[in-house]
Amino acid sequence: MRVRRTYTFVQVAIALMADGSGRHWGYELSKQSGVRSGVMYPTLQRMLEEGWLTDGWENQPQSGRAKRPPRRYYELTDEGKAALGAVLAEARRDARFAPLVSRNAAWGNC
Amino acid sequence: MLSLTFQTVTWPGLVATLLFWGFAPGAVLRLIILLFPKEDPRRRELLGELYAVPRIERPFWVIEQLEVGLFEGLRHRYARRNANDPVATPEGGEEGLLFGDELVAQPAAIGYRGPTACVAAGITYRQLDYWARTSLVEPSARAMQGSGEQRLYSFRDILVLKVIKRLLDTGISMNQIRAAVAHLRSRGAVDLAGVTLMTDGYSVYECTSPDEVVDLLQGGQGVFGVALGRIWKEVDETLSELPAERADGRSDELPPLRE
Repeated sequence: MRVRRTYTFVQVAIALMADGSGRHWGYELSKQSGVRSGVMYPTLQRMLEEGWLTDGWENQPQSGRAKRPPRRYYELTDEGKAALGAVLAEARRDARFAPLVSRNAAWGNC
Repeated sequence: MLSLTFQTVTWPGLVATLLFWGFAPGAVLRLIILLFPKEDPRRRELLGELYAVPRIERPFWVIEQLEVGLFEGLRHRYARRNANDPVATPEGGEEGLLFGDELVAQPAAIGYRGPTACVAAGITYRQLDYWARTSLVEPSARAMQGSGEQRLYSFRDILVLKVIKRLLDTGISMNQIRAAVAHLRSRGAVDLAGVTLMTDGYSVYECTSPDEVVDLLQGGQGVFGVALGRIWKEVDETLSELPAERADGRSDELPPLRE
């Protein structure tokens, strides 16, 4: 499989892998990765189609305000963790992504 | 100059603008999501996200979603319109080949469950489910109705699934794949066994004769080929060892209703 490793793709991958087993939401991901929604959503879409992510809908909001519509969340699949892990390992060797990877150096050794 | 500014920015206009963008981001977002096709999950997703955005950021966030709507939403609409082009479906009880009747026909009444379709096409269940929900490949032998009913994929569906999987493996983008699938479906009477799809990783080319394949190769383009006739045989062989089901539901497998 070959997904073009663009700068934004690596940014989204880092944000996803920062919490590999947790749920991710669009707004939170876009904040965390610094990628704007117009680029991030197509990236997530691509990952869904590859089977790297799985999505679902939150049942009911935990807070008392019942009027909220359900939120869509994304979770990494085992396949996705392996694939994105490989992407990040590759990115760490690529000079192009050096600023990204060093900024997230704390994450880098897991 | 100054007077011009004051003439164009009237008080009611200013108040309306402020109200619209500042205090009603929800209303604006509801307009933006109309850019997406009706059943696109992004519609509900963006609405749900709005309430996760801090109130003070909402107007800016909503403006940002205009880009999502314009680029992703309109593209999905366009892709869907192409995919909805009339598909030549034989009316009789026999289902022909994907786009013609050249190879041995499969009975239309036979369908395969999702997991079987996955095995035959070599994809994961998540991919199958996702492609069905985004109308790339929907189970045509029996569509999903309610929660209890099993989806059934026809032989034709599984063939398309396998072709998509092959193209995806070469790194082709999903948009290109959607376009290629729509194009192939619109070609009603093509001898499928003779079609080879060639790809350079960015575009999909359809070759109906060996000469065309050679032309592409000499042009330094085609680096990967998908011969539909061969995939047809592979799917046929795999499926012959897997369980099939009658699509009309008159199967004996249904458990008796318990009182």
